[in-house]
Amino acid sequence: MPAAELWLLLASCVACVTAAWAAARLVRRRSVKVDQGMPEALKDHTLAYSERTFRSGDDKQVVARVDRAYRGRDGLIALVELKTRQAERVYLSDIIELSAQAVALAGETGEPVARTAWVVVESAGRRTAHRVTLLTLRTVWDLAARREALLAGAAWPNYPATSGVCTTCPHRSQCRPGN
Amino acid sequence: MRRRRKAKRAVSASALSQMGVCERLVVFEHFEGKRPTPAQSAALQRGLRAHRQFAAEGVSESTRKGRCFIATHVFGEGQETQVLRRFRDRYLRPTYAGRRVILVYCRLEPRVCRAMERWPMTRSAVRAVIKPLVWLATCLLADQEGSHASG
Repeated sequence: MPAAELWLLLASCVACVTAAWAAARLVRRRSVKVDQGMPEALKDHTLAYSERTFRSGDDKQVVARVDRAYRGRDGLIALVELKTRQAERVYLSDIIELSAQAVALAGETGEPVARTAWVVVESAGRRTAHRVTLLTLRTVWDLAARREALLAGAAWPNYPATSGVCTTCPHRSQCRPGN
Repeated sequence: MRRRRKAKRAVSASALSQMGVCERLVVFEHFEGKRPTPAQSAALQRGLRAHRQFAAEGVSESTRKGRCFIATHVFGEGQETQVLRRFRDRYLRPTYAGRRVILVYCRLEPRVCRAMERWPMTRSAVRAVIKPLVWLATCLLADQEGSHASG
């Protein structure tokens, strides 16, 4: 075999090994980042529920699917909600969703749920945990009542506080005062 | 806005969370259905993938922490395990004393499971201890469900 071909073979082998090493390193770095996204405060907690649906047992039912719920040493349940989005921030809708989850979980199991919950935002391949304070039970029921009133036509729906929501809204063309 | 159907009494957490985005969107989506843009559909798919991964990580995390269930170890995911879970959720979780019992159980279960893995003979002994508890739990649950049905 000529020397030039030998060198070519050797160079190809080196390139393959380098590519495999770089890929493995990339995957490892990505998975480490994902693991780091979970809040430190939940380190001593145990996972109680994962991807489970709960229904509050009372007359006004709230149905919620919980991403993860951790049980602390004191028996309190801490909720964790995963969100994938470009902006690494928490919205009011996340807090409402977690509060409704707390109502549903407490209603079905009778377990006490902590007022503090976590929104884990996955953005550009990495996760960041944001601590949030949940709404009270009364506020959740008020929201549910307001929603029912809106759907029944008994109340007039408000426009959003910021116009940023409208830029991507598919109903934008119909959304005019008087509709 | 037109009223197409009567509002249901049950509301999902995600539907309620839309109230924090835009009330008008809530009404539009209720009467005209969701109309996701291609970008929103792609984001939804990304979210579903991330959730599947998140759930799988949760399972592996609990396994890594050595979490195990004696009943699952002995009976598998059978009828007995389901009965004990329902008993735990209905009778133990709602009370303080019950939650203490669950905590003690959580502390004991890894040792018992390790012992059963090490000495498989102990599994039949544990099964003999749990069987009467399963029978008792079945009776209590049947009694409660019967009284609910008649009430």
